[in-house]
Amino acid sequence: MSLTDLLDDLVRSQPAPDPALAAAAWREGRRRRRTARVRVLAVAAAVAGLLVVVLPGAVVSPVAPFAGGVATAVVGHPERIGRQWWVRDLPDRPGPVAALLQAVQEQRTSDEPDGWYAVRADGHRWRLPEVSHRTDLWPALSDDGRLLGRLATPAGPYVVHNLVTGERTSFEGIVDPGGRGDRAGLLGSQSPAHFSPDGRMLWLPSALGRTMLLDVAIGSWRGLPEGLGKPAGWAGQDRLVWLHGGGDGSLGSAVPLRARTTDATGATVADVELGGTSGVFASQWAGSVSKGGGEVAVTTTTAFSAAPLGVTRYALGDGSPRSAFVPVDANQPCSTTWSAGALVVPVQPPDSAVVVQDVVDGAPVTVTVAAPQIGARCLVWAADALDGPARGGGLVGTSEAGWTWWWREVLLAGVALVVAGVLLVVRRRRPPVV
Amino acid sequence: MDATQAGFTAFVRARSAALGRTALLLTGDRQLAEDLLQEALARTAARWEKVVAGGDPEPYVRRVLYTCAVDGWRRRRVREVFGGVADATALDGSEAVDRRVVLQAALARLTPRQRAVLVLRFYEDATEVQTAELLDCSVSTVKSQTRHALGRLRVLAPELTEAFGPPVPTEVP
Repeated sequence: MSLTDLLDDLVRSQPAPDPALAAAAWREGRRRRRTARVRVLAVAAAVAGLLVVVLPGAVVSPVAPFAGGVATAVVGHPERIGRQWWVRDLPDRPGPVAALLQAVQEQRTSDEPDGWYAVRADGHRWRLPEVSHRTDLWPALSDDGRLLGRLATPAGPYVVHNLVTGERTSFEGIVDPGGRGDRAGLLGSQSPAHFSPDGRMLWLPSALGRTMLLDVAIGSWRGLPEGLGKPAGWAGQDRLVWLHGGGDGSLGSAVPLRARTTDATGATVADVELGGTSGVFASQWAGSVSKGGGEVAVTTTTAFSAAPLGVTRYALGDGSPRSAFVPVDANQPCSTTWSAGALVVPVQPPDSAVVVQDVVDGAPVTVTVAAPQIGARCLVWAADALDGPARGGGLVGTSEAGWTWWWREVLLAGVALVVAGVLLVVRRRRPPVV
Repeated sequence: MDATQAGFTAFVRARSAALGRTALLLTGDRQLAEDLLQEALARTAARWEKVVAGGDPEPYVRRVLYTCAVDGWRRRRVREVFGGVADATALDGSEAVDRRVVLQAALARLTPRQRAVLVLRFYEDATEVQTAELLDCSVSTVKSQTRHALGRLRVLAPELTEAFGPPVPTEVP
């Protein structure tokens, strides 16, 4: 007797399976199919949700809240400005932004181009189009983050863009300093611009040490007298503060630095000597005026590009120093910014992530960090943004650890591995149909 | 009942007896064999449209049956309870009963894969190539599994040695 016969004999009297087997198997099979479909849909929804959450720039910025043209000020500032997989051009109505970021990669570490970017309160970035690549032409941002001033094209005009309503006010005759035009209308490069606290006026640097004043409400501009100094900011709605005097950076100079306050026509209202500033050098980025107009902060160096930088606060009334702070690795040339009561100083640690520190109480606090891959150099803040809460830091806050800039990719890789593993197991357990 | 379900039901009615016998040999227990068959049929029902679109559904069901028996489906339980087939065969006190009990006990000591290989090769009369394809392994694995399984049966059931040899069937080219 062969093994085949033995096996036949073993099951010969096996009764037929229960007739209800077909119906039971069908019900169970269909139930599994429904469950599997629901699972697939759930996983797809979860993956899509995950992608939307973790992919930087994957979500179109919300426009709807501002669609009605209601003036809205920026609320809060980004705790982190991270890498983005897709950086879009600034839309017409993105809503108020928290800052403008200047990106210049000394050693190219990503494909993101150099240029200026608008940064939302949660750290999302948009590229400023057209002359964005001209990192030496500084755009301007109003205190409430609603108004963006910049040169539209090298041949002009200069445009003030309302980020809430999408309206643009053009100023003809203001052109790239390398372009042709009225000498008075040549925009100054490598110099910051200052909106008035209410956003109605914009104080622009002009070429050859001049400045000009733009009336945003009526769309006209005029030049201000020469020789008043370097713009430091607004001390109220119609008071301009200039820094003048000081040394030229060479050793041995004994001329003190002075703060001049003028009205909107350039007529001097006050001019005080800033205490202890004999021979110090102050660049065009050196000054910033506090929100109430009572103080001016000055970033100085005793010998140009040689001695350590120092940031000192002075009373505008009498020029007396209030406090001094010497930041480590100060990020020059970037302007300081005042929030309601604090002075925010940009610094740049060795790993090249920009860190902005709030030094109001003498103890520096990290306000914002930017990914080294961006090549962030300077931030032009909407001052009101710094009064609001820090946003977008997630679990990592202001950590500068390298992995914190890649957590999305790490998370996605982990999810992809898990999904691939599950698919592999399912595939191995399920026989092919054919 | 729609046409799709009717097709499935007709297939099950026509082939469940044969499939049930195979399941019984793979599990050694009537209840487990029914469970195994229902599992295979449920998996088939879940993909019935695709399965019938590919032609005869039986090869697919058999593949699922073997896969479940060998690769994880209640494997431990199958190994533990193998041994109930004798109840199914009428206990007539004859030599035939003794033979069934001895064979059943010997089969119970094999691994699920060895059992599956023997069922395919000697009950289903599948070639080594077909067996390898069905169990998703190489032909040499089938050969070695067959050789080991028969070797163990010779040791475990010496009174049936005549049925196990000479020995390993070879593939006809």
